[in-house]
Amino acid sequence: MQLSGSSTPPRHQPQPHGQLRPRHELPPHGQPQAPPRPAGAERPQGRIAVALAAATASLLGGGGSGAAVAEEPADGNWDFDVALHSYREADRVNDASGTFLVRRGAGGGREFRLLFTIDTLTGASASGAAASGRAQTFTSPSGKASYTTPAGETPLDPTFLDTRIALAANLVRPVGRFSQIDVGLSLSNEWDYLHTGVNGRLSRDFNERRSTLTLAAAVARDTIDPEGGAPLPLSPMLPVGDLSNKAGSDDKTVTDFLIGVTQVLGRNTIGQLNYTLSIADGYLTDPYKLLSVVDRRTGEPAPGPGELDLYLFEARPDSRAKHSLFGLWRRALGRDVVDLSYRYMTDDWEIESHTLETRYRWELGSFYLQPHLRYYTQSAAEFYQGALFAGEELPRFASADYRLGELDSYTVGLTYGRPLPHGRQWTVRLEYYEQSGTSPPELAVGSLRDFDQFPSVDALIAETGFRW
Amino acid sequence: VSRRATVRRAEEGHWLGTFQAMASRCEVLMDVRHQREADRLLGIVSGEAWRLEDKFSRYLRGNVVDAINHGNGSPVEVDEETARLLDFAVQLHRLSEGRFDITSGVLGRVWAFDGERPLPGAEEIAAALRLVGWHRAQWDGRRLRLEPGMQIDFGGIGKEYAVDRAAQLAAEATESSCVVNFGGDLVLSRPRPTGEPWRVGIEDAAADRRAEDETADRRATRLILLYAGGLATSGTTKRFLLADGVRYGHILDPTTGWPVQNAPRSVTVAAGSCVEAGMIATLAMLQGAAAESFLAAQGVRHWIAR
Repeated sequence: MQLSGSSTPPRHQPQPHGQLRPRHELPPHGQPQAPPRPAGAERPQGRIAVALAAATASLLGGGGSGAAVAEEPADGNWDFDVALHSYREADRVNDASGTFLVRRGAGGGREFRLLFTIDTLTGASASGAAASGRAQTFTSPSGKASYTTPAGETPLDPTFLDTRIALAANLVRPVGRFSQIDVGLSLSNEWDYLHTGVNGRLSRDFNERRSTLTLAAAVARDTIDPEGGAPLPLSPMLPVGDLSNKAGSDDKTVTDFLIGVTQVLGRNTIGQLNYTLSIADGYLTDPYKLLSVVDRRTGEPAPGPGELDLYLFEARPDSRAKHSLFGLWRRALGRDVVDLSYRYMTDDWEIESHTLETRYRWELGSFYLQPHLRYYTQSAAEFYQGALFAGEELPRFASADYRLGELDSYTVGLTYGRPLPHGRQWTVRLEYYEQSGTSPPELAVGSLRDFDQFPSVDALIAETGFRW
Repeated sequence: VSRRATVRRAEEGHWLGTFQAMASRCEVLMDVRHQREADRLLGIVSGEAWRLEDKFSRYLRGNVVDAINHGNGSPVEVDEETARLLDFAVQLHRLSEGRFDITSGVLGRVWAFDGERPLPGAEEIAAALRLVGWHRAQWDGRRLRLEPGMQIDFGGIGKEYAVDRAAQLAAEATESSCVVNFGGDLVLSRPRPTGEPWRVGIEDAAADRRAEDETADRRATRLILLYAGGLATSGTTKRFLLADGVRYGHILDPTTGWPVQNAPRSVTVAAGSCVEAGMIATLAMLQGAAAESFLAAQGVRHWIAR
């Protein structure tokens, strides 16, 4: 789970025009008025605001940079955001989701937020088994059916389908003059997974509100009840109908701590630095991921139970401690806003990652465009390996999940945003994502060399949102 | 009027300075920590307000406005600040197609907006109009000459200008954010570094009317979150003339000599500066029934009460 302060922009952001949300007040006319109007009748005038801004700049010796106002979210004032999101990997996973955010201001800086998300995942994901020179047959997670991957193709688990419903509720309120607390609950449920969590954040302004210190913590308890049961770690995949190595559900606890500082660095610039510690304990294994067991010389699959080749279910350590450091620099350039961020993450699984990201919000009058670039690179977990070798001693932990391998990805995107009257806003975002990895050295044996063992993944992301 | 400014701690935690200037209750909201800092800022802001009041009030003798209005047809040389204000008034006159005119005050002599009374006669209005109109003035950027009997009045610009000027001085004096509010026309000296808004109340004439039955002087306010820039309101519900059952609002159109018909009760505008907000609000009032379409064309945030 993510702490609100760790990856999202700080709440101290220069308020763009999109934040404006006044409402017109047009009560009906009073008494009818007979206009005994002489000549020189009314004629509506056109746009004078630009010329007026120039005249004002000469009067005052420099122009303002526009107003940013909103109406107090008083009692009974509700704000809504709705967004539809689509993530489509070519021939792999498709995720379609909808979010609905309701905010209700309660005056005096208090706010209640409710976020409802529904998303549906379909398609296939790489199971971890290596591509082979011959067709491979796998038992589905339920143990009730089997499927076959043609020769030379990356084995995908094609039975992937899940719907998740998530709910998050937060209550924000000021404490004294300089502090604010935010407490929340989160709950999500899908076919095989139940998440429950609590989170809290305390922030305090210092130094005439030029610095803000944030402390946050979150605890989540997640239960996984895999299709067919959780397999014993490193036990073989069994033929259809045999569930003797699978048993029930398991759970994990994830605790996150965050300490962050936001600092005003001059009139137009804000910097932010966060450190996050995330400790996970419990069942961290992916119950659907496999490792192929192959011959060390030929790369041919080793024979397994029944008619099957030998595949073992993966095993991960039952704890993980992640440290991450996040820095953000944001600067207003007139009406435009540019930001640049970097995140370093390291954990005791020996994964190290770097994320570099930048956005530029370009105001173009009645709309804005926001290009987005992101680069991500990570090293492999110490127990990551592409396959296991027949006849050799089993390691304690092993996973061939590509998400734990050495990989790079980049994202390029563009958001179009159009503020509308009455504080409404419409946005459309399009992004392209490409991920490529380094094939693990274990797979550079025999016939396995003939295949792309770490195919790149590319995805298209589309999102549209409306706020009112 | 006593020229005394007082400061106190507001409930929300910021410092609140108050004083009286330009026939308005003036406030300064300051995000500073210590009272002496608040006192210093309040001194700067109130000092500027009083300086501009002394300099541009048409009710005071001996200032530049008095000199111009009593020039008896001779050109009067003005200082640089007055010249900038006059240049601005010229621009406004042009942008408003003559409806905004700092010489229109003379019309106020024939129109009294104090309740039920007969309309002025056409000749009376025509006579007043002969002393109204910027096109009758001679302005070369340094010297201004009015026809004898003509007068200028910075009433339509002066308060907003004072708000922006005082806020500029506050911005030079402190990195902290301040709100300078002279009788409801206000601007931020700079955004709060944390990005949080200031909560400011604007008079809500529509709500005022709904609350008419309640305490007479209870003013309904609408709370606005202001992150940057300023707000200004034009129009009041209080001053009007009732003749033959027709209500005439107090906004006069110098191109006709008549009150603007169907003007909104009030218009509030948000803009980058108080001056811009105030001028757009004023010009919107001068549009009468077309105020809504005029405001929509400006692309600014606004609130209209009819």
